[in-house]
Amino acid sequence: MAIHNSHRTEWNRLLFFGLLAAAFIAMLGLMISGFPAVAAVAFFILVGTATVLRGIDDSMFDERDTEIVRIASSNTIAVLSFSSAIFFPTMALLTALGYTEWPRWLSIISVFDATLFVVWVSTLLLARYHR
Amino acid sequence: MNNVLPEYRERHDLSQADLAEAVGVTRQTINAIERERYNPSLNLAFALAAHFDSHIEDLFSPS
Repeated sequence: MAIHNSHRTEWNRLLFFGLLAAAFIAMLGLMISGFPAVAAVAFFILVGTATVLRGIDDSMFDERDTEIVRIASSNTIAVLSFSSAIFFPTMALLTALGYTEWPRWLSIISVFDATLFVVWVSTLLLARYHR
Repeated sequence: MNNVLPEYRERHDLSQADLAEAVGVTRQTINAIERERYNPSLNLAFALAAHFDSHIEDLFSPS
């Protein structure tokens, strides 16, 4: 019985990630194909199914998964911090000195990066306040 | 952190899946603990010790 449940959990984990991957691929494929409305509907259905699956099987993820997500999030913030503190200021300096040009797409990324960093600092302060 | 979880598990004739089911985690987590690639939370360490009717320090020791 226990082994059966363990196999079911592993199957559900695979199904969960499969649904998320399918949602991403469907969204991207249908958007590129020129069907944005269908893409959105397919995305919501697939992600919704994955969310329901997670609600049904609460043993699908455990504390080690949480730890892995925490490490991945921490590494992502480290990349954002590096780009905010070093890459973009360096690019701005090089642009100001005339060594390179600042493309428009870099502005979009830098604003997105800065916004995410502000969100992170806000949630950090909130977490500290509650501890 | 070092542990003797495999010995306790085998002594009780349990598979990793059985133990995982009993303490409410995935088989991969038990495997990661046994290979000393993951340190369990205090809650999980207490659950494992309770399952084997022992103490945390019987199962785990600082490396």
